[in-house]
Amino acid sequence: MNKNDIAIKTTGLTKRYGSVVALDHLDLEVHRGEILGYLGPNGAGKTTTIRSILGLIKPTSGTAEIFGIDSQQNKVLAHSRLAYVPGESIFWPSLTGAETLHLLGKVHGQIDPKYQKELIKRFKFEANKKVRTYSKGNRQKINLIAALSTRAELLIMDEPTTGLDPIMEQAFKQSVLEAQANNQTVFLSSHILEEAEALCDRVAILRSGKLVELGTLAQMRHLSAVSIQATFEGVPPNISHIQGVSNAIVTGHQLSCQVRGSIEPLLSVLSAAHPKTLLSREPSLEELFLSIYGDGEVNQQAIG
Amino acid sequence: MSSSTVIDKKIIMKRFHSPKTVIARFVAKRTIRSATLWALFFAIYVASKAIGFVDTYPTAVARQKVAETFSNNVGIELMLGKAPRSGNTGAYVAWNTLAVMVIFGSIWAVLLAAKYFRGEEDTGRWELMLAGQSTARGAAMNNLAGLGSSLVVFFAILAIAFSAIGRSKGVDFTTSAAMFLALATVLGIVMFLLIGALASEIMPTRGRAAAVATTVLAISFILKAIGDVTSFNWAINISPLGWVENLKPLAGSHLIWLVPIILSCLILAVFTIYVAGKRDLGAGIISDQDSKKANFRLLGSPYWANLRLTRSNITGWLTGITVAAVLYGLMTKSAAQAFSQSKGAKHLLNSLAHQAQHSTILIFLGVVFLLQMTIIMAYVASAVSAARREEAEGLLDNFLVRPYSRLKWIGGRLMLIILVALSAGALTFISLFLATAYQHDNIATNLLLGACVNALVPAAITLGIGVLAFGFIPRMSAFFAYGVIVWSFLISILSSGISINHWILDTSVLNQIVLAPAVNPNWATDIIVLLIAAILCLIGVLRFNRRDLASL
Repeated sequence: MNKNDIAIKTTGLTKRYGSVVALDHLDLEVHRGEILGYLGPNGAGKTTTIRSILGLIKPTSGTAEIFGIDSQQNKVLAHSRLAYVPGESIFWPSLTGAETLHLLGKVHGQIDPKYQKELIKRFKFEANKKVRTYSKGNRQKINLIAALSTRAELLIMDEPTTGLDPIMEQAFKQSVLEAQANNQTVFLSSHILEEAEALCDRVAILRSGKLVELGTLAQMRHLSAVSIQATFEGVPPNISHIQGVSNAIVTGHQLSCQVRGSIEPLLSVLSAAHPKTLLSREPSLEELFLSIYGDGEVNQQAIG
Repeated sequence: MSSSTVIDKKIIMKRFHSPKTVIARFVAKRTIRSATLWALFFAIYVASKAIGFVDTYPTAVARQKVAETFSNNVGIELMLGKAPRSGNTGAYVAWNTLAVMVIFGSIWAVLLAAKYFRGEEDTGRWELMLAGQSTARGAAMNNLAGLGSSLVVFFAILAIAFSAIGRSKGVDFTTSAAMFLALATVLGIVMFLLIGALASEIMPTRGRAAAVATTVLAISFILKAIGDVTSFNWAINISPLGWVENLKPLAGSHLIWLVPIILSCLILAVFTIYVAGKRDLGAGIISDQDSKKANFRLLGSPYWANLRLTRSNITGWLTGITVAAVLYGLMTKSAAQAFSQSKGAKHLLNSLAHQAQHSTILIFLGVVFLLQMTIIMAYVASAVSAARREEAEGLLDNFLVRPYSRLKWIGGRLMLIILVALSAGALTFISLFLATAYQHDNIATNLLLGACVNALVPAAITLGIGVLAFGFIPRMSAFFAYGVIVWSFLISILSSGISINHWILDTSVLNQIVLAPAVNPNWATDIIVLLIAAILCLIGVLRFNRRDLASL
C-alpha cells in the first residue's frame, strides 16, 4: 500500500504520565477514504491518542504519521492535510460565530465558502451572534463547520456530537457520509456506539490505553457470541454442558443464552426439545463493546 | 450477558456543615491570600514613607519647610490631595499614602468584585453554586460576606502595622489614630468593591462590569483632583475618593465624612443584593449586544487576532503609562526643589539612584523612571500571563491543530509585547519631554532618550524570565513574571531606607540597572542584561516548541 493511501499510521505510540500509562504501544493504520470508529470508555486513551497524533503532546515513544508525514517532526505540513474537531469548544467570547469561522478558516489556509454556507444552513447556525451567547451545542457547530468546510483529506473528530440535539446529529451523519463520498478519511473517536455503528467501516476498541479489537463490525460479530432465545411447551432443556454456551437463563418456559463458536450442538439439543419459537440475533456494537469490557470495567478507567 | 443491581439498604450520608454559607467560605478562602499580600505591601509602603520622612527631615523646621513646598505644588496635590500645612509626621504620612493606597486597593477590589460577581458566572461555574442550597440573592450575600471577611483580615493587618509604625521612634502617632488611618483606607476600598459588585450585577459581562466600575473610580479621582487644585472646592465633596480624603486621618480626623461613606456602602450593598434577585442568570440589567454584523478586520492571523482581542487592554496600559509620565513630568521641578532643601532627601534619592552625581531634577527623574520601568515590567508580566491563560483555557489549541506553528504563535506574541513595551518607552519619553519643557526644566533630549531606552531593559529581563517559566513550568509563568517585579521593587524601596546585604540587592533586576538620567546609563551592563533576556527567551521558546500543551 502506498504511503499516501494510509491516512494515519501509528507505530508503538506510547504516552506515559509518570507511572501511569495513558497509551500503550498503539499500532494503528487508518486507510484513505474509510471511516474508522475509535471507541473506548472515558479515560481509555482516545483523546491522548488524538493529541499525540496532532503533535499537541509528545509521545513517550513511538511515531505517528499523517499521510506519511511525521506529525511530531513536521506538524505544520501534517496539519495542512487534516481538520480537527475537538470535543470541547472553547472560543473567544467577544467574537461572533462568523468572525470565529473566518479566523479559523484563515489559519487553516483554505475553505470551500459555498460548502460552508451550506453547512451553516444545515446546522441551523446563527453566525451573527457572539460566541458568549451560544449554547454548548451551538459552539460545537463552529468546530464542525470550520473543520468540514476545509474539505481536508483527513478529518479527526474527538466526540464531535457533544451537545448536539438528535436533529443535528443527523446533519452530522450526513456531513460525514458526504466527506467519505468525497474520498475524505474520517477518524471518529466516540463513545456513542450507535453513531459509530451507523457510520464506521471499521472499529478500533481501546482499553486502558491498549488496542484490544480492530476490524469491521462483521469481523467482530463473527468472533463474538450469538444471542439465542427460545420458548418451549414444557421445561426448557439443560444446555449447561454444551461447549461454547454461556449466560444461560431459564425463566419459566423461556430460555436465553449466548453461544460462541459452532452453534450446531446447541441447535440439536434445542430442536430435540421441540421449541415453540427460536430467535437468534447477532450482537450489537454495544454488546460487543460490553463483552470486551465487562459490566464492571467500563467505569473503572482512570486515565484521561 | 447478565447484570445485577445491588441496593445497599444502609446508606450512610456524609453531611456537610452549614451548606448555606459555603459560597462565603469558598470566596473568603480564595481571596484572603491576596488581601494579606496587599495589606503587607501597604504596610511596608507606609513604613518606608514614615521612616524615610523622619530620617530625611529630622527637624521641625525642615518638616515645616517641605510641607510649605508641597502645598504650593499643583502636580503633587493633583495626585495626593491637599498637602498638610503643618510639618506633622502623621499628617504627612497619611497625606502621602492614603490616596495611593485607596486608588490601588480600589483597582484590586473592583477586579475582585468583577471576578466573583460576574466572572464566575461568565465561565458557567456559578450555575453549580446556585444549584445548591442558595438563591441568587443568598449567593450575592455570601459573596459579599466572603469578600468582607478578607477585608476584615486586610483591616486587621493594616491596623496592627500602622500602630506599630506609629510607635516607632520619631514617628509618634497614637494607636487610635493609626486605626483610623487603616479604617479610612479600608472603607475607601470597600466602597469601590461594592461599586464593582453592583456594576457586575448590572452589566452583562465581567469585562464591562470592571470597565464601568473603573470609570467610576476615574471620575471620582478627577472630581477629587478638581476640588484639590481649583477653586471648585465643592467637587471634592461629591467624589467618593474625596470623602476618604476629607476624613483627614492623622490630621484632625473629620469623622463626619464617615456618614456618606458608610451610607453609600449600605445603599450599594442593598442594591447589589436586590438586583441579584431581579435578573436572570447569565444576563445583566443592561443587556449585551448579542448579535452584530461580522467585522473581519484584524482577523487574518493569530497575530492580528491577538492585537484585536487585546487592543483595549493595550490602550489602557499605554494611557496609564502616558498619564503617569505627564504627571511626574509636571511635578519634577517642585519635587526637586523640595528635595534639594534637605540633605536627607538627597541621600534618599541618591541611594535609590545609586550614587548619583547630578542635579536634584535629574535624580528625581531617575526615580520617576524607576516607577515607569516598574509599570512597563507589569505590562510585560500581564502579557506573559495572558499567553499562558490562552494555553490553559484551550484557546491556543484552535491555532495549533491547524497549519500554524508554535514558533510562529509565540513569536507573534513576543513581537506584540516588545512593540507595546517600545511604545510605552516612546510615550514616556514624549510625555516627560513635553512636561519638563513646559516647566522650563532644561533637560537635554539625549539624556531623556537614553533614560527611556535604559528603562526598557528591566522589562526585557521580565519577559525573559516569564518566557523561560512559560517554556518549562507553564503553570508558574504568572508567578515568576510578577515575582520578578514585586521582589525587585520591594528590594529597591527597602534599600532606599535601610541597609541590605549586597547579595540580596543583586537579586533585584532594578538594582542592576542605573537610574538614568540621574546617572549615565551603563550601556555595557544594559547590553549584557538584554543578551541574558534574549537567551532566556530563546530557551523558553525552544522548550515551549517541544513540550506538551498543558491545560489548567
